[in-house]
Amino acid sequence: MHIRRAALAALLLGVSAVAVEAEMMAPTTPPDAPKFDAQGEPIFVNRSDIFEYKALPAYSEPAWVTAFVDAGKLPPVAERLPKEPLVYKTANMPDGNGVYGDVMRHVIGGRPEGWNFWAGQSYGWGGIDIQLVECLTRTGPLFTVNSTDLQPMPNLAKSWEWSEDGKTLTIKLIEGAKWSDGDAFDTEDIDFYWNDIVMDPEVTPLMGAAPATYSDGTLEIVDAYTFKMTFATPFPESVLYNMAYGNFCPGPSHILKPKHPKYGGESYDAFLKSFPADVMNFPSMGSHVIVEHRPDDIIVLRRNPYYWKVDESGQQLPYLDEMQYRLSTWADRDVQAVAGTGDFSNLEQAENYVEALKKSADEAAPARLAFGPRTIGYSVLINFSANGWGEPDARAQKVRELNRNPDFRMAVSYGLDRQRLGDSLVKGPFTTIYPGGLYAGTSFYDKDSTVYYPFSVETAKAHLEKAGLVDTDGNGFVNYPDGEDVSVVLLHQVDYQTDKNLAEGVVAMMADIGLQVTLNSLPAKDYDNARDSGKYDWSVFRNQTELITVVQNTPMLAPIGPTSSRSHQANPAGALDLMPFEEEMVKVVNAFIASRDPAERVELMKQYQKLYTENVNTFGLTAYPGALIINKRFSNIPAGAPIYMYNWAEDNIIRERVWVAADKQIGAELHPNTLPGALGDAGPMAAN
Amino acid sequence: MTTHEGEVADDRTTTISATSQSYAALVWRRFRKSIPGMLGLVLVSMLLIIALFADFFAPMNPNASTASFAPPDHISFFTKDGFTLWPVAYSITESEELDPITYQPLMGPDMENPRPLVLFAKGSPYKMWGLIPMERRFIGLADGSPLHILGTDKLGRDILARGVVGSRISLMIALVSITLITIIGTLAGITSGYLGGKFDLWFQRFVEIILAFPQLPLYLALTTLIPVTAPSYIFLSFVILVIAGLGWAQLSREVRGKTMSMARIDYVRAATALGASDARIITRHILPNVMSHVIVAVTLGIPTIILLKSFLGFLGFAVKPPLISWGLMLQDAGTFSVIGSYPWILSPVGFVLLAVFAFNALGDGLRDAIDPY
Amino acid sequence: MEGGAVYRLALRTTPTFPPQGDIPMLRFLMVRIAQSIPVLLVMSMITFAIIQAPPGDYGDFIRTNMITQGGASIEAATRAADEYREKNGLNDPMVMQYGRWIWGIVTRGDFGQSYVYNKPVSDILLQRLPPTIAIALTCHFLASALGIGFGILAATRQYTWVDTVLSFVSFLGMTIPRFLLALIILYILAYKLDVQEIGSFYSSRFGGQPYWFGWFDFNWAKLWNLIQHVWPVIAVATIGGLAYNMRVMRANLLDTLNAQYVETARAKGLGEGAVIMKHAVPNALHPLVAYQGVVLPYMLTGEIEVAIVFGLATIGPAIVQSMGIGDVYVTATLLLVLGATLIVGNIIADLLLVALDPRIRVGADT
Repeated sequence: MHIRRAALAALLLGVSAVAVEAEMMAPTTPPDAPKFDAQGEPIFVNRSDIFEYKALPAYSEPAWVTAFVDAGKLPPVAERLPKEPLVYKTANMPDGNGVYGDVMRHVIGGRPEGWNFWAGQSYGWGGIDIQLVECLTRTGPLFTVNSTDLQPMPNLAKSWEWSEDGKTLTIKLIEGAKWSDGDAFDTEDIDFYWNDIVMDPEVTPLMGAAPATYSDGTLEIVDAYTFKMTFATPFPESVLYNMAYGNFCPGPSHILKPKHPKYGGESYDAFLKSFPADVMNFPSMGSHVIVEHRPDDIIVLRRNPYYWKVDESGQQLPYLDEMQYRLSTWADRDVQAVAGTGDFSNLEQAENYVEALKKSADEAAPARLAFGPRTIGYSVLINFSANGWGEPDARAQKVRELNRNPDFRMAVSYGLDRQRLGDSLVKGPFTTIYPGGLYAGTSFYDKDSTVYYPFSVETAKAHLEKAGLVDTDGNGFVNYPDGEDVSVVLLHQVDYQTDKNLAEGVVAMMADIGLQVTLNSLPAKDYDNARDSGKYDWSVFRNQTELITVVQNTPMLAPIGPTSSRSHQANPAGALDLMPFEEEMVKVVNAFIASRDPAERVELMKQYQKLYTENVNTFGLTAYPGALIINKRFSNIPAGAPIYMYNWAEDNIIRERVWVAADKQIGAELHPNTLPGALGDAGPMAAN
Repeated sequence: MTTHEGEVADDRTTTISATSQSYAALVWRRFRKSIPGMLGLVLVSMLLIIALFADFFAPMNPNASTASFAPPDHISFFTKDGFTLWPVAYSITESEELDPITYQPLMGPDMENPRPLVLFAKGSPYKMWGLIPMERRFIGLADGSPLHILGTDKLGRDILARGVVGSRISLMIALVSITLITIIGTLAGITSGYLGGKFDLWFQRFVEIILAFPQLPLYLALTTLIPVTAPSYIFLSFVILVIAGLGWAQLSREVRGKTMSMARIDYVRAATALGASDARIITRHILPNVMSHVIVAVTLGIPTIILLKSFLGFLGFAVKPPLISWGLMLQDAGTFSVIGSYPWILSPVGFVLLAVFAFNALGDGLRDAIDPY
Repeated sequence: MEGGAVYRLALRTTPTFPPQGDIPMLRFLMVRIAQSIPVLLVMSMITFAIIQAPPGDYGDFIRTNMITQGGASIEAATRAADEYREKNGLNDPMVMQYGRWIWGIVTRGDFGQSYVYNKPVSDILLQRLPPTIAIALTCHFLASALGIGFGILAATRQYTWVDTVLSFVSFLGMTIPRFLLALIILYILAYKLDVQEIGSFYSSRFGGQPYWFGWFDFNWAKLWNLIQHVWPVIAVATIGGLAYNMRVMRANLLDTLNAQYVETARAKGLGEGAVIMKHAVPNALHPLVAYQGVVLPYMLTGEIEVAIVFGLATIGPAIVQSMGIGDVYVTATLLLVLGATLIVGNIIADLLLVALDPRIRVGADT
């Protein structure tokens, strides 16, 4: 870091850059990330410290909800709650038990297609689906869980047990919980989800859960609150992670079943479209229920009077009476959160940090910025398939073969000035040099197992020459031995400024070492498609969860199957042409998946990191923290919450226990003192 | 673009053939009197010369990098010893200290080290037009160290140098497309308006299709239609072809309207009756009269094209790096941090303003000279 | 094909017009409308081909969302996208998709289904068109009124400081990229002034309220809230449009002020003010009036950059967004509507021209 700065100062002061760069560099370990004071540190606890399931002597609710009970429109609170509700422990709450009232105003860029999540309809993302569907397990708050206790958190599934041979998993549901319309939640809902959604080939739920998602297991109902899953392989722990948000989040079978063709529904298409986005009060297990939707304007959610979570003093959750989702654009979300018209945003574009910080430094500013760990990281994926994945043309095939040449990869890695790449997004201590592989600061990271090729144009050029690439025609770019210009295409997406900036930086830096790189700039959806079908040489990629948590999507860490890796998949004939280091990575990852011994798993990840970084499995670029923009009035926002780790920040901060002190409430509720009405009613209902 | 269809044309038609002087000389004599016109001419010439010798006028290699987001160097006529006749530059340096709020390294001019600015300074070597090796640059620092008159961009590249080099592609696209538009639009408009009848009817439907053509999706789709590895000249020709291919229709409609009203004026009818050939009528009577309109349309068209490209840049369509254009530079301008913290990155807006002003002034001057009323 | 028949019909009914009278005017109108049908049809085909040309479709959008937002595995998301394509006919050849769409419009007035909203495109059109037209008309009215006013001021005070200042302002309005102007305004409002009325048309409180509580009980607060939200868009678009009007007005007024009949009017002893307002201005207005028709579609998309920046649900942003995610019928329909307004605008322009300038005759040959 200091050397870099000195070099920079020298450049600025006009000392020739050549003197600094002339010496050849050797691989080393990466520099430590710069100290960054604004970064929050999570308080690490065990899962059982956060909540437990137990009966409390008495329960309470907001006074205005009691009016509904008095009017005979609702049963008393104790009857609405399960026998043993989920109780959040006060000790784990950053600001303690809260008070009722107020609203959290989100802004989202998506639009709801309808409410049949289980037939594939999206709610519009941005936390609204996380709010409306509750799942068997939960992963978001795991960022605060000790690595020794790292397993998904119970949620609708109260507990689970593996059989001795690890091939049977018995799951117990919370008993006596109810849907927001008062119907019981039990294994009938599980049965419908499993047999009529997952196992029905005609139905594709959102996120596409299929038997393979649950290790091709079979499911058997034991009683109203117990079911069993049986697997061919022992201990497929990934199943438990796949029961969290996105997949095993059962729908209200009493509502959905009559529309399903198997039970007299008209057709699969009619089933899909049976609850369009203008149908209100769709039953939910979540903390809030939809009561209003003005197209392209707003979605309003009111508290679920049957919500099955409470605090230790017996107050039924959620604390917040209302949730709003402005239907705008994703870019608008940051602006509104900063301006104070929105309450919440995941700020992940480093380019906006400086302005947001400036604004929030003001005493009167509505929002604050909470920086998490540096888990937003970018790499360049290198396409390793030389046997036909993505149908390369002659030029691309030549590049693929270069990609498989270790000297070529090292040359590129030496040629990347990662400090400058980070600075091109935002200067200062936000970004850190990222050589690839697991992130510094995550639980499986080991610095000594990480190999870093420090920036050096000279060394890069020397390695290019070693790979047989020399500029023979004097146009400034290296040629293949047969005289053709080397031309690499870098795929990137244009929907995010960050991706564009990094791609442009890579092109400029490669030009400095004499490598011609051309951009292929595509909208996000086409970019994803091109990448996953292998139609790229290099691709700017924002790392996904497997490199952050390791335990989620573990198979993607190496090409252990024909389609498991992002940068090396099988050709149409199903054949993989793995290089020796890849084969070793496959062995390590398979061993990791099979192992239940924490010490062994740590050791295996060290080996993995070494193989990954030494052989330059991807070109790591930069890593930086995301910032949660959250309105200052909210209490119980956990420290160091990452905007994305096991799940999005909307899940991480446990919104049902977030509250606003009475004197800070802003009175922005659109439907004060109302509760969700009956399914199909135009809006919420009032007590009288 | 301007529509002059309804204009009263009768009164000025006589000025052309009545003079014994050569038409061009007359126009030039009138043009010289117009101050904004001359200013425009000078500026346009300067822009073209700078674009032509961009490598020489750029104070630095546009791809060389120093510190990112560095503000412009401090240029001053004062040193510690007092006033100097020749300005000096104080380079920006970055300190180890961080701003307590934004965590940005503090930057500021190094007041200890004034470096004299010199013309024809020796800088990093380059090849003029990729052929002639040179190392002198129009302006630079006496000791050859980097000079950032307009600061640096995200990758620490000099903005002025990029602006100068970027003028090449931006002006080239604008000039070539406007030339094509003018030629096609004028010819098509006069032909259609003069011939009239069935041809006119059919042709105007065709023009309508072009006018109603969904330009936006075409531009948005364009990037994906050109092969990624196609050489840059193919990309540029494509852009020019599309701009010209869609741009001529509006002009042709306006010229057609003008031609139609002109063809009905008595003396033209008289000329026709006397047996003057179509070519003569068109070149002697119609063309000169639509020229003033065409010139205004052209001068307004150049800025329109330059602005169109900046809009497309906003939507993500621009030349690809490492090529440099103003539109591409403007893409970096669309963030709040640039507006709030790095305003010098907005400089390309200034380049666009300058170019647009120059062509507008030139056009106004010409218009007044050709068409003095 | 359908279009061919219509086209032949249009050709057969093209007569040469007698120079004057109401009936030919009406026939001219009918013929022009008939002629515009094939133009629209050809345009819709080109449009459809262009928006389908880039690789990728709505299936890819679904897939991307499932992976990045919902954390789905690549395989599961790809499978879900493929099923969606199969069910919604995204795999059909383009010609078939186009045929289905155009057939639906012709036979049922059905513009197809929006994938992302999961409702008919016509709903989206009906929801977005009124505010778009309202904004466009407001901008256009302001730009015309101010532009013409400034133009008269500048022309009558040629070469004075008034002329210079106004010319400079109009020049800036024309030159500064609108998206930048919009971003700067948004930056100042959100980051510097703590303005709460940004994004969308209304604050959430007012969005659900009616405009009329009862007879004679107008919801002024809601209107005020609307103005607070949309003024930046109107301001930016007006400044941009003003420049053009002013330039043309100034040039034309200068022309007419030197014309013979104005000289005659002066010679008759009319005051300069009366000469300008009674004789010169109406004549100088001609080209601007004729321009009204052509400007229609431009108006509908003129605020596009600003609307994108300010997150307003109008037509322009919808085109860009739907194109980006592959919601083809929305893009195609909106572009068709724009094309239709342009053609209507051209017809209006021609009619206005005839009405203003008797020397141009309807459909007259040479």
